[in-house]
Amino acid sequence: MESLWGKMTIEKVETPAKILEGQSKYLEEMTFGYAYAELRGNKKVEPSELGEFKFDYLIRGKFLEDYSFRLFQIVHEVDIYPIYMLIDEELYMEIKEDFIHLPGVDSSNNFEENAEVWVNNREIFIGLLRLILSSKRVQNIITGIFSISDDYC
Amino acid sequence: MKYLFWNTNKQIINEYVKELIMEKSYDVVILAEYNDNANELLKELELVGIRMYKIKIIGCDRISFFTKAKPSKIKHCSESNYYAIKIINIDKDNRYIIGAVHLPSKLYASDEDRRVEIEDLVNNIAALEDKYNTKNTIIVGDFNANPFDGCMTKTTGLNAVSSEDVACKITRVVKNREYNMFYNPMWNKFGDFDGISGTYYYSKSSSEEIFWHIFDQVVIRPQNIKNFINSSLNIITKVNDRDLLSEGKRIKVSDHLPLEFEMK
Repeated sequence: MESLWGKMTIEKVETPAKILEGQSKYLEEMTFGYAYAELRGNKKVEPSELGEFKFDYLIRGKFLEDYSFRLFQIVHEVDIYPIYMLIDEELYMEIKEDFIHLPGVDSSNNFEENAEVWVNNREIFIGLLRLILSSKRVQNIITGIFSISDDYC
Repeated sequence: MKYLFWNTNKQIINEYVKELIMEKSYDVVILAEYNDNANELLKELELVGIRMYKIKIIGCDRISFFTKAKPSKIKHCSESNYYAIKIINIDKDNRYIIGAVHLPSKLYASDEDRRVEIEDLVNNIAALEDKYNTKNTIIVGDFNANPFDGCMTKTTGLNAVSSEDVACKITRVVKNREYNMFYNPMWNKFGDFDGISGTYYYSKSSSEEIFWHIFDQVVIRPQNIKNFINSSLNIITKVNDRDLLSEGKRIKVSDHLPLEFEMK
């Protein structure tokens, strides 16, 4: 009997976790490991109606073993988009205007209250990530980690 | 260890803070919305023989942290925009986990917003308690919530209860999940038998308003209750001879009253 599966084209999807892991490597290289980013799966929380995959993206310091700062949390379903993101509020206030003007962002659809946004596709996710990771807020946190690390070295 | 917490409402307030520290000799002073000059405060204290240190906080501008313990005794732990966790290492076997909070205002955020923040804080604290095998944990600050609000009482929030007896059961199991509890002694501060009925006064024109709120609170792990000196828990209304309340019993100087307590 012939295959009944049809012509299957399997598109390899880059998950948000994979994208974030890639960015984490860049930070580690740029700071010689003093500061690094970690993707932490949040297993202790209740199952969320927002999606079953839930991660925190943290900035940490090589010489500050217990320090972490959560830049944002992402929650999504198996089919990935849309992604729910809860962003550090000060960071969100800094990038909000630029985010609204990203291609494809519809201010009526993408915003929840406070520092919560919905990301509809990969392009918007990358655009938002660029705004977050190049923000003054993130720069200040990394500088702070360096400054305190110096006290321990 | 003596603690002071005060939301200073961005006021020029060093004079009051200095006098409180001189009078009560606090070991840890945590301030929210502190916009006065910290270096000047430390210099003024030094002049009267009190050496304190400002402990660095990286990502939470809403909180300032001062200790008598040297910065080398402080471990920097997780932070968010709304909280900072520090560990004070007194010696090898004696350490305190301190969560300092200033949660989002009721004007701009819901109880659920505060619960989400508390859940993150509690998860981070629990990880530290496991790692360092201690329950010498306190969380103190302006929660922008009353002790009875959901974010304070829910299992997925702070899970903080009013009764020592209940807290000493240590955990609650709900739907097969186990949640560690906190003891919240602030419940004892409602009502006016002890003088003042809260730390924050608010009057809005709605049909339901309790006027005096206890937004500024300390909660402790039940394993730590034996070290908490009940009689030391005090909402401060006077600094030396200066009243922090007007004649009409409204809060002045800041819009919150300070809170003090002592752990053995």
